[in-house]
Amino acid sequence: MTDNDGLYRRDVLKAGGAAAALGLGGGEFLQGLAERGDETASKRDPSIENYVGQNDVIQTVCSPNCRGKCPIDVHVRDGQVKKVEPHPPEDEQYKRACVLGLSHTQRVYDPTRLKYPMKRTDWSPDEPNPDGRGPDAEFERVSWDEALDLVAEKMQSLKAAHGAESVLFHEGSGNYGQSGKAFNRLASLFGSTQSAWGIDANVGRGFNRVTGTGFFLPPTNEAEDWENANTIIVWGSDLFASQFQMDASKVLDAVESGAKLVVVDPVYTTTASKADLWLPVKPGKDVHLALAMMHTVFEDGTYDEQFLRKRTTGPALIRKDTGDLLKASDVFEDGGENQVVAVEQGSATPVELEPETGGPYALFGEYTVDGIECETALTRLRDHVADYAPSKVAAKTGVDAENIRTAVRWLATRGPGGIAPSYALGRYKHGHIFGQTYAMLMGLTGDYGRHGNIHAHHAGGATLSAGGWGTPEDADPGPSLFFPEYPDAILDGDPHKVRAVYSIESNMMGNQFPDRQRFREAIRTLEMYVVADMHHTDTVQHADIILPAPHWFEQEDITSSWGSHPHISYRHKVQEPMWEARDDYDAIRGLAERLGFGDYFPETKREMLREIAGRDDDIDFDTLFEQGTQKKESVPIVKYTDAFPTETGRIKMYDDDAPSEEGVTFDVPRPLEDRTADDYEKADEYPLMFMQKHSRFRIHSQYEMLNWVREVNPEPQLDIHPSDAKARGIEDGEYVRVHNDRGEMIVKAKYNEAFQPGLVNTDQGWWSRDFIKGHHNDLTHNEVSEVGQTMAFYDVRVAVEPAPDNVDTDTYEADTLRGAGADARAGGD
Amino acid sequence: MTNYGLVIDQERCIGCQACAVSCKQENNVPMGQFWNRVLTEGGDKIDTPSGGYPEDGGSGSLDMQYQPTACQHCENAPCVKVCPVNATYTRDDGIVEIDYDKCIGCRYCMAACPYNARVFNWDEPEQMPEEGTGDVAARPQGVVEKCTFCSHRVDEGLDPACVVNCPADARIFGDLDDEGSTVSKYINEYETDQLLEDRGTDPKTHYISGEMSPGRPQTSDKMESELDDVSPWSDGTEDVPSDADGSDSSDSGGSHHSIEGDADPHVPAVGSGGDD
Amino acid sequence: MNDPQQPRLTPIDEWEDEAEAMLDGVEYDTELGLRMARDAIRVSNGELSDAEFHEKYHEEILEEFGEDERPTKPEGFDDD
Ligand code: SF4
Ligand code: SF4
Ligand code: SF4
Repeated sequence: MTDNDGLYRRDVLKAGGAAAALGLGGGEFLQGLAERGDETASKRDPSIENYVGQNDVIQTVCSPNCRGKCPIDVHVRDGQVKKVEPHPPEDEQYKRACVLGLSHTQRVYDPTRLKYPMKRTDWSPDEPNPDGRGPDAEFERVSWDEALDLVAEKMQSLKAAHGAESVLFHEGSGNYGQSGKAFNRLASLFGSTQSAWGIDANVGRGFNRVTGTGFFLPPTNEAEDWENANTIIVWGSDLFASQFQMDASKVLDAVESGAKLVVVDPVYTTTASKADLWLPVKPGKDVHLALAMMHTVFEDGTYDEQFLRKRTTGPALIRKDTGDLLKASDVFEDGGENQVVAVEQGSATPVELEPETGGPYALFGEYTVDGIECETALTRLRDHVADYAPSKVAAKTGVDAENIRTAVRWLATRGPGGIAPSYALGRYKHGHIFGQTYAMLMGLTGDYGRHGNIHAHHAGGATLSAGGWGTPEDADPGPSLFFPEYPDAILDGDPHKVRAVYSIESNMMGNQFPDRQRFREAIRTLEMYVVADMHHTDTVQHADIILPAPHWFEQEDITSSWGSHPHISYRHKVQEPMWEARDDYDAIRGLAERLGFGDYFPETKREMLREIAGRDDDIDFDTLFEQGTQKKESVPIVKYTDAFPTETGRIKMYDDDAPSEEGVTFDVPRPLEDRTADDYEKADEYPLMFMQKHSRFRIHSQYEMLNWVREVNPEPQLDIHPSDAKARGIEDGEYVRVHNDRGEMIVKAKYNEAFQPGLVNTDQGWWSRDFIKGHHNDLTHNEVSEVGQTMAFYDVRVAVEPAPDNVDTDTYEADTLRGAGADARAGGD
Repeated sequence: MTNYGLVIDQERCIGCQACAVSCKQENNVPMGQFWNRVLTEGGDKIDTPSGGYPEDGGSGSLDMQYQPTACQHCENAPCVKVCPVNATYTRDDGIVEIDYDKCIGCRYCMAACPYNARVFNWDEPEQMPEEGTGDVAARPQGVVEKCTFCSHRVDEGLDPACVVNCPADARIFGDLDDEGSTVSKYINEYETDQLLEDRGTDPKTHYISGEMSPGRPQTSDKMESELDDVSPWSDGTEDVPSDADGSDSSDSGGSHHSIEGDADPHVPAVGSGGDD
Repeated sequence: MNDPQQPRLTPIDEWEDEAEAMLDGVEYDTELGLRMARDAIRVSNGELSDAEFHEKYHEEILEEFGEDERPTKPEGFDDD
């Protein structure tokens, strides 16, 4: 590290023959060594050369879009990264790291790292030769100046000819630092199209309709509070393998002290193996199941009356004539138009419902108010779920009726608890309905605003509030485009034509987006495709200009811990960027200068970070810089303690302004399915549902190259129930062809009793090079629900058959160390 | 006397592989070899359950548990008894270890170990990155190696790497001869098993299964016996040594350190990546 | 060698095959290694004493390795 401002650096301690030192632990350690004298280091084992205490230890933070954001110590010796260990943050109970973050020692030096700026050999701003893109594209090395000149020149000419919105700034989630804000800032100033998130937003959207909060998964109590839960219903999530494994001890501690753990999942996951009760639901039937749970709550009378009266619109009256909620303005002279109305028990006199205010309101019943026939919202809901008795939905959902009742009885009667759904539910097309349903179910059980309540399968965490730094006041930002809209925009100009893309922190367009072939087709028509990345991914292979980004250990940054833990962390540089890799911030600033916006960008990244951090009242830059982590004190441990940000300040138990799609209105939760529907037209042709589980071995497509992990998990496989396999003549460990009307892939079959018959899986996040043929995202589709606007990766059907005899599977049969990646794509070429 | 042992709570273990991989990293274990593996008690492959998927919507018969397995550091270690040159030996603190200078590569110990805990360097060991990782030197070709309970760390008062890196607090290391240690307490309080108990090897690795323990939260990398009230990770200055060379200050909560000067990045020798 | 994808420990009755494979190609007597492995477990079990074990193999070890440094050597055992 080159900084010399002395804010945090200790004088380097030298002791005995040991090297420079570090870390409070390290310092102490050295003292020990000094006391014990020289021979101590390996006093007992002369044949073991021991380097303990000899490393430089740099505190930094691991930063993919996982739920870790783990502060870590990087040990460096002889100028080389030797190992990674977790570094407990300011609040040490959040000490964390996973197998991937611990393996950066391999990632830093992996041959897939990009080394130099490159240009596709046959590309120029005037003659883009789009056909030259793809797996066989060749690149030549250029200087950073040349690369940025070319990009700026093309952006300017496109802006002049077609408007700035013909350039799309696409930002992924591959780096949880602040460079994205600089990217947005430049996009806003230039007026380009910006990307809008179209992944994993389904469940949150539905939840938001009910509570006024949530976009991805809704906020939930911080992990430290999970121990207080008495019932945890994990829904469609393998949280011990993905998203929450760094905080596993928190859930385990709850279980150890007596909480009931329920897992709802078609797969018997690691998490299910720890559960008191597992509900093996059929894919797509989750809303039916949640409605059956509501049915039980009504039938048992275990709803939380006090909560319903005080914090929900349960007692609010619905006009039978219009289906709208009765408003104060309907019955009182000066009544508000948004104010809903209830009646008090034993009378038919209307009263206005205020937020956070209890009263003797009637929860059920029909009333005529001012001649208007009404019923309470709760009555409407109870009648709606009358059709969903557990015994009635058991066959449809695949779950035993008594187990449905048991699960919800635990939630309703054992004190505080909650439901921890995952993003998987939103990976079914109409997943937003589940968000709506469970938000209301927890309204019935009164599980908001208390210790021990849980609303998502990862915690809330802390985000650096940078105000509007990404959008300067004098900017005139262009339109935004949802991810799923990209292909139509690029190919057909719908809603407007996109001709060039600048992409950072993302392996989406070439690897992670569904219907990959269509995205590739779109890429192939662009006039310019600029990709900045750390590795030579499939996306990079399709670029015209490649900008090599440094490894996180080589970029100074501030890492937010959204969804993870309540700290902000400083990502100190461990070493200077290798080769000619350059921080995205420097590239963006270089481009800004060329485009005439240089003044908007501080000269160094450090200055930018200081400026942004200055906008967050909870964070003091110098403290953060010095400590490495700072707990954000304004992050509430318990969420939902105040009035809900809805029109009424209450949870909506009935939605009179509900959206609808495919002829279904969501005033109350109504199941709607796509490919999981029993009568889906192509169900016979493609009889198996296909999901792509998030495993413990990937964060999206990151870490694909870790050799240590590849020894345990060498290649993509198809998890398939033995009965489904045998019916197709497929042997365990045999290669199979998985296909549908969009594409195919060839992978090894893995007999797995954990998988429901009718459901198959390939863990997501593999790169093209890992497949014998095709890719998991050649099978997925890009159709989204109107309301959910979220890519539906799991709402996919496939057929499976033995692979043709002539496929070449040598990559995995030859005894190589790395398993796949025999043709490790070199980083610089 | 000190007699080190390990308790693994299988009820807590989530099979995350952090222990297996961080062991490789810490101990510079060659590619293709594992000192510590996360086995599955379940189906025929890792991460699969035994039993059958329920057909009636009930909870069914599926079952799965993880069993991280490394050298068990047996009290009656068969490997020690067969080593003709006494390269494999038991330290005073109970750790079974190999003197690589003495090892002649006869592999009799491997045949004698019923836990498949030992690996042999058939070839010149290969590390990634090439220069090796962690805090011990690589072993040469032609010797047998295995888990050392991270003796190089234990000798310095630190817990084994796998223990420090377990996110489930499922691994607890300590002195079996000290009745007050967490390992001793858990072995008393919980139902614990040793692997292949009938062999009489008396492993010092004990597995909790049945009832979950509270584990041992790791907010420090020090061994339990080395811990005083103040965690070395906290900001408490009491815990910080007065710097040998009198640097004033700096420990007012600062736990950050940097490499001296402008750390030049190390550019590794890369087989296939270099086009320079 | 010890495969991280192996699901569980090799059952004891299959262990000998595996042990044999490990010893395959070793410069020393494979068969001796196997016999000693078997008997070392008997020592652990208490079926055989250290001293008995030591004596039983002492000659063969000396012949094969030119030394016998095993820790099982009983007090006063004559090494030659
Ligand atoms: S990948 Fe995520 S969970 Fe794993 S160490 Fe990095 S930040 Fe933590
Ligand atoms: S104690 Fe050390 S050597 Fe043994 S398994 Fe754990 S990390 Fe590996
Ligand atoms: S690190 Fe802990 S939880 Fe993970 S596999 Fe090892 S023992 Fe199990």
